[in-house]
Amino acid sequence: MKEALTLQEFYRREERKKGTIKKYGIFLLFTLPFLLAFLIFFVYPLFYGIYISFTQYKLSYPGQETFVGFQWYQVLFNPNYKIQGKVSTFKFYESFWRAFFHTITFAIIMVPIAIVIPLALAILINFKPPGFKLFRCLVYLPSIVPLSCAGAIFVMLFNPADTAGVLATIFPNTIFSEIKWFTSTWFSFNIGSNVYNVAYAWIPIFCMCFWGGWGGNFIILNAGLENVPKSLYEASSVDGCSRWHKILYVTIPNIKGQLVLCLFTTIIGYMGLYGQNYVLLSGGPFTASTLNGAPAWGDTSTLLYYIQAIVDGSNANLQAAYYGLASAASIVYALFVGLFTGIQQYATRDRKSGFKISEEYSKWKRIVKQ
Amino acid sequence: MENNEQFLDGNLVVDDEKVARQLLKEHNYKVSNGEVDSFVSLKGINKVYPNGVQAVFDFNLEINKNDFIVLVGPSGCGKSTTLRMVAGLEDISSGYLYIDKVLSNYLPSKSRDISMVFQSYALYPQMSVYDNIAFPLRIRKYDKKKYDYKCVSYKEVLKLLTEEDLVDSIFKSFDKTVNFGKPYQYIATKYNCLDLSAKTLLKAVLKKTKLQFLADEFKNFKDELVNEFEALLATRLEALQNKGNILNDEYVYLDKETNEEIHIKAKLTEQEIRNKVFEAATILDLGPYLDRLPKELSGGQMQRVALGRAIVRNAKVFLMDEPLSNLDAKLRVMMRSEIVRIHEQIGATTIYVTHDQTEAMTMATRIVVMSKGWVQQVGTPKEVYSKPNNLFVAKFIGSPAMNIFDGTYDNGYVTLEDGFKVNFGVKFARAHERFYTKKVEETTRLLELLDTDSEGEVTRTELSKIFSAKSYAKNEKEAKDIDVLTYSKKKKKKIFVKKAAKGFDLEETRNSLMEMLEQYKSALNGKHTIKLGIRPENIHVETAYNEKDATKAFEIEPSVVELLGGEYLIHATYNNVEMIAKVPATLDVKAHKPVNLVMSKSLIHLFDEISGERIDIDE
Amino acid sequence: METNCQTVENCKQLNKRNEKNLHLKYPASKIVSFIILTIFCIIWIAPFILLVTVSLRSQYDAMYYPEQFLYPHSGYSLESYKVILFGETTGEQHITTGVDYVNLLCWVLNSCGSAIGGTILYLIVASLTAYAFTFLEVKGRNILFAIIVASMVVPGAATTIGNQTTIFGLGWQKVPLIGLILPGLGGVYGMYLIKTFFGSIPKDLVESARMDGYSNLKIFTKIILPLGKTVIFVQGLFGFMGGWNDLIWPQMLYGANVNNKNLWTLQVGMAYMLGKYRTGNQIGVSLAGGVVCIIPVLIVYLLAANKIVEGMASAGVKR
Repeated sequence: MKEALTLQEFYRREERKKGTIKKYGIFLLFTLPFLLAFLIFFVYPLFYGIYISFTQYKLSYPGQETFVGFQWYQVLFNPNYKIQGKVSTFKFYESFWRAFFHTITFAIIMVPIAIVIPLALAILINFKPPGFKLFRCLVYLPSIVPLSCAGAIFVMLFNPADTAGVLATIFPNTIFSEIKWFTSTWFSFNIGSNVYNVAYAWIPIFCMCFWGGWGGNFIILNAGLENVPKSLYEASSVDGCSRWHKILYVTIPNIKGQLVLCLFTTIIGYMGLYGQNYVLLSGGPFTASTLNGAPAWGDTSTLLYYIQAIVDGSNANLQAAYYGLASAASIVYALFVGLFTGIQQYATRDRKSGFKISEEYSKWKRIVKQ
Repeated sequence: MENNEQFLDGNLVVDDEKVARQLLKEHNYKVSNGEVDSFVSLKGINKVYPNGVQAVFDFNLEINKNDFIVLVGPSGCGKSTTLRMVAGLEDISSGYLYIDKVLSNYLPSKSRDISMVFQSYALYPQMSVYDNIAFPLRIRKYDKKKYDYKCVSYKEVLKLLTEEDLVDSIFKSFDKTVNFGKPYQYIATKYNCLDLSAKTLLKAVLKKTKLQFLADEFKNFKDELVNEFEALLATRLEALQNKGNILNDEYVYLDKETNEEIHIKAKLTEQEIRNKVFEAATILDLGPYLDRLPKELSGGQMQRVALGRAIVRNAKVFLMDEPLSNLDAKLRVMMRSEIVRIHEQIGATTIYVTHDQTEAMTMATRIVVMSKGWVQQVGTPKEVYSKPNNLFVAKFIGSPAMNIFDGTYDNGYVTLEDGFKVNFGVKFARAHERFYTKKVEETTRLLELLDTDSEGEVTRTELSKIFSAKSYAKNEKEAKDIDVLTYSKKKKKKIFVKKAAKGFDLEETRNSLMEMLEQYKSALNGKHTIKLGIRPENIHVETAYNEKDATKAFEIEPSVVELLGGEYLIHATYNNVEMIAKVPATLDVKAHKPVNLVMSKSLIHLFDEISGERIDIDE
Repeated sequence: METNCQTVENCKQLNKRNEKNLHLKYPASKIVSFIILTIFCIIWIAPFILLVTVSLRSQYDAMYYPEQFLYPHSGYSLESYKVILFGETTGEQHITTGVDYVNLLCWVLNSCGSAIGGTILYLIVASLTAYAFTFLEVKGRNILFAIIVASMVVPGAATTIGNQTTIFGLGWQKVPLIGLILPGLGGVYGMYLIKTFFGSIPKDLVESARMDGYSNLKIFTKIILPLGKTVIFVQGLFGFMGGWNDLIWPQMLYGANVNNKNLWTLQVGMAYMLGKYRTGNQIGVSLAGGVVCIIPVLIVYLLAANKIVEGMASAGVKR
């Protein structure tokens, strides 16, 4: 027997339903463009990309790809893999891991520098010397320079003497003029049977990143420093802290939030190093001839370079045959980034307080009372 | 703390600067002055900022040990600045500050042996409460006697072996429910000995037998152990003496020449730190919060942690900068009594700054009332309440504030505007005459000094005080032009020269002084205006007050009557002044019902209108 | 009083030694930091100066006397700019550009359209969305927002491939601008910033407006937008600078299409030029191109530098 509804009750329920629908409707109206763009250009490509990585995708014939399972992942992780038992993909494997090695090493070198130097500058600016606002703007200025412009500057600086590089001609007969920055190799080392050439070209890349790569960190750290309460410094003076103690116990712990943010964004940023290499050298110099034909086989290649080399169509063969490989590589790259940021977030997480000391205290009290 | 003998005696007279410089360098710029006999002494402290504004004028105060001094005043009166000068967070422009006889003007904060509690608590956010309190203990080196810890530990082991419940204690050390840490910590805490001694004892005992058999076998090898350790002690003493060290009975190294105990600066051990922090936690009841981070604490708890951090070092002077202003009303009342209780328990000298006169009255042993950089009055709460020096103190202390009426004085009688007359008698007339004669003398002297243009500091300071005091009596606005003093580099000494502020120059000063002189003279001779002050609780309903002390009655119509529980606050307008009277709630008073009131004559205060000072009957 | 016999306390030496900071407006720390910062900034800004001066020299000079930047051998000349802007060749050195002058204008317009148009659209979309997430109480709103914020961790590379296929599938690589603007509308950073700011607006304002009968759209335009002017303006600046400077995405979209260079943005074009004109006598051309790239952004930055810096600062602090 159905429940007998009074008219009042029925009206109330209807209104409530209508109200909820109306609320959801308005919400959807406001957020629709954003959500649509988010779905179409973020969520969908993410899953589509994962799908592509399992197929032999052809850009010109979408929808006609064949499913090949973990083939591309095997290419990336198995040096002896042969596609369908015939085609050796060793050079794809090797150039990927070289690119990975380049990226990781550069990130390890660059990330600490990109945090410590802005911190030091922010501390200097925090003393508020005359004209500090001007200094602040000047320090941030190189960060807004677009890649192509910065690239032109550094090419001009580091060109060898016969092509009128500025550094080479200002300092003749020093290291600046004698090294062919963009082409020669700095040193090589062997891992197993493989020869790795470390190119001098990393130095201009390093300089370019150093010039324009950490302006944001500087601003954020500067703001963090200003927000440290002054009374904390005074309290530490009264407690007996020297200047170094103050930096250690007052300054750095109070900007921890900003430091973590900078670390987070810097790591993600340098793992995705691509633009600088592209603009300066197009990923070269290309010394390892054994890898000719593989994407990103130059000495200054990075992970992202590997992906882009296949995808942007500059080499039509690569794009046609190895599109899925690029997708697989991008998934692996995203996983690496996720792994590193996960480690970083875990390592810098907030301490939760426990009960250890208060238990010690209550026991101590009982002992002393006896 | 270091012996005073290591300090240079400040009163030494030296012939020339080179010698002085040499002496100062030798004694590391620490100077003491044996003639100062109070514990903390501020003499002639002034604070002038680089832009010329002076925040504190001529602050003089002698503080004895265990005093609780409260600096109270409205905002901007210079009390926080004074406190920060004592703390070392601001430079002292001129004057002398002595902490425990040591000249401390130029010592950095950490060398002054002070602790401070800030208004915003200033707790380190990344450390637990335990670490916050332990921080000042960890960061410094403390003065310790140079013990030979091995000898001390042997001696303590020997003492421990004679304890009756030693076996029981050893068992308890390994019981995790009773012991809070490593086994030796239980023994060390219970018998108040070094960690090292407990460790040595346990090691020796457990070498002889296993824990299970301890109870039975202990008596057997106890004597063995005693002999063993006595031998160890003797050997070590001998070895040390052979190397040429001298030790006294407590195994402190003695200096070979002077035969005094050698002191060294060393960090505290974890055991010492733990004991101190736990003791502080006991006093402040912070036990359950020791692990928490500051962001997990409430306001009152943070306040107590800040207090804990201050008391744990047993510094000479405690400074507190409005610590209770960030708490809600109920918590404030509770923490007030806490602070007083702690002060009595620890017995430290405290300087406390607040703008709340209730806190000052309830907590202080002595109050310093300040306003606009000047000290208005120093005295016990009772003195400040019943004998205010001037109008400002009278109006500031006491809640609700004192009622001030304008009146006319004529030969012993004071008449208010509506004709209400009070007869103060001959005694007051004489006091009145004395007061104004003195005022005339002072003003005449100042005029003379002005004329001869001698540039003594005294003149300028006194002038400023007079003019700033004058403003309270009449018109507060005038003070603005006069208050600015600055530092003059032209003179070799530091004197305070008036900046060429508009409206103040020699001519005008002289004119103002002459005007004041005239007014004082006329006050001596005839009728003049005067201010009459009476506290609300000293106004009574006529029908309920039968003392001889009562004045004539006057009728008022209350506009508002507030019930405070046990009392009524009667608000009325009388002689163009918003008057408040406090009467017991048992009486029948209602708004808009006229009632007759009387004042207690002996508790009426009369204030001079020109300078604002109280005319004291008993001077 | 000053006499030859003084008590030690009155000794000037004691006063002098510790009085140094009493009347000094510039204590030691400020002076040292000033000096270090000045030296640093001079080295820091040197590349800019080089950029401008070398681009203003004739090709011959740049080749043979590269070290004379302030007083060039044959004076200043606008050769390089003429090459960039008008596709001219110079008589002496035979620099062929192969670049039609029309292209530069197209490139600038494309960049403008993408940067300005894209930013304006994004501001509208993002602020509407931020409003919805802050003031429209709907079940599941917080979970949705958390998911969106979590997506910030995923690096762009993971979605590039999929995006590219979508867009190529839609044929947008043959159409100007749309492929540049529309994907950006889903960007989370700006929306997150705006939402954080909106969160600090007291809800009472909105509630009292609702009681007065305002519709949501009206509340948004009349109350929230004026309050959020600063943050939206700052976000707009960032959006403009980011859109103008972006190289990677347009490169991927249009870069391979060498035949139809009209679709390129300015950055893509300049990167291409740099690839071609790298060596000595032609570097001036690339530098001139660099100057052209940087001028709008530089102007925006110089005009609003403080606002930008403070906007970034507050973003960091709010975390």
